[in-house]
Amino acid sequence: MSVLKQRTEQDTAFAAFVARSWDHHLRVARLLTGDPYRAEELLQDSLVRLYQHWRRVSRRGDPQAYLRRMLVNGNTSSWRRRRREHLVAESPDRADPSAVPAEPAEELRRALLTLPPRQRAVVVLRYYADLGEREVAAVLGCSVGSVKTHNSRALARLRSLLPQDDEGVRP
Amino acid sequence: MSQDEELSRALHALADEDDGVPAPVDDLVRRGHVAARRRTAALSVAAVGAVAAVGVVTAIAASGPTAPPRQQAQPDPAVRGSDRGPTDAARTRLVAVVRTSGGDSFRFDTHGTNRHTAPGRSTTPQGFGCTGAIDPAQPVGYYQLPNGEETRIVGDDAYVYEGGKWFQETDPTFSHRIGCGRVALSASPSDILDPIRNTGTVRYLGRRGSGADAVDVYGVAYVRQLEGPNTVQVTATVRVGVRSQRVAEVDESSVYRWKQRTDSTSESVTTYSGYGEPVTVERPTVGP
Repeated sequence: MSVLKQRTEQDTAFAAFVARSWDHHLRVARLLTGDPYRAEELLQDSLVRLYQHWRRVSRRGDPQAYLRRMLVNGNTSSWRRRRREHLVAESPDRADPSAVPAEPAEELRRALLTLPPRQRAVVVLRYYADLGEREVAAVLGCSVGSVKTHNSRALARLRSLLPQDDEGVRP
Repeated sequence: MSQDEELSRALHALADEDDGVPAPVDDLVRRGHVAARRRTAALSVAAVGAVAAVGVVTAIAASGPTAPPRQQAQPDPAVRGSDRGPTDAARTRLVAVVRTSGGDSFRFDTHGTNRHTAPGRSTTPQGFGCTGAIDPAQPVGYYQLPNGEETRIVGDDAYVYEGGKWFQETDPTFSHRIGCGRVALSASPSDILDPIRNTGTVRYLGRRGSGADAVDVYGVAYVRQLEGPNTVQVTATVRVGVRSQRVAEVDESSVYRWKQRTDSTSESVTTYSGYGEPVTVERPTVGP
């Protein structure tokens, strides 16, 4: 097969994958990052990297899992980087979140952002992407026991932050 | 409804809150082509060699527009002759120096302060700083923060020490985007050079000092786009050793304009030394 034909087939397969997967993974990225701009950037960067490994990944048969892992790892790295980088990015002057009543979805978003990235990833993968503990462990590259620990701590944290009445979310 | 179901429902509602964005399929395929070509080229050189190359470059890119020199500088006649206003000649010279500087091993020390600038409110400056070294030939590098956190690059691998443990970075782009104050190391020199190569201004401000201490001084200014509508306006003074023809210092001032937050400023000074000296970095033991 000529290189040109191979490239064309690769592009076609990759383009179909992007079209099919974009919406779902964009939403996962939004939950992971808490920021629609950053989510789109994270997903686009991950897809560009995925393209470079497309032949190998698609041959193994699970590009969705590979992309999911890239999103989680990319977000964790980005979080660490931002934490070390400019403190100016985190404004100390912003309003106290508890001072202004928020919609339940906004409260959940704020609560999610207080979780360390791996705990947040466990919550998003378990309860949004509907992955089992074993699949989440594969994405995070850790044991099932670690997933259970992350999950338990994350839910406890969310419980402490979210309203306990019928209006809010009670994990 | 169980608590698990309730959380799942709430997460779906939250994820659906923002409008959908169409997948930029063609653009992603095009960027994939470019990235694949770059990757092939990079693998044939040395991945972190480029990282170091851009350590300095980034500092320059991060150093922005025309901060005035600390004292009146005397223009170098040899440069002045080819230099008119914010010049392409100055830009070309500085870009060349940056590239040369990045090809050697080097040490760096950066420190500065961040401050928020809400009208009518005083804010306390927050300090930051780190030191490190990069050798692109091996390739190895590290940087250390005052709180004990450290990042190491060994070959194609990157490691982070925090919370008493070493972690290996699994994000394949990590080594391209390490942050440390305003010194961000990147493996993509052309990306980092873009701000001063294509936009903003580069001015030759003159020569200061004499003998081994003589430096040529450049003023750099540009605006960089951040996430969404946010921008950072950067001005900086870059000092280049006359004898060494290497970047010696970047004195930077940045103004961050956030759409939904208070504007903020960052001042930093990064000094470079030890060009060509060996850098030793051990591969750490990860975990448990």
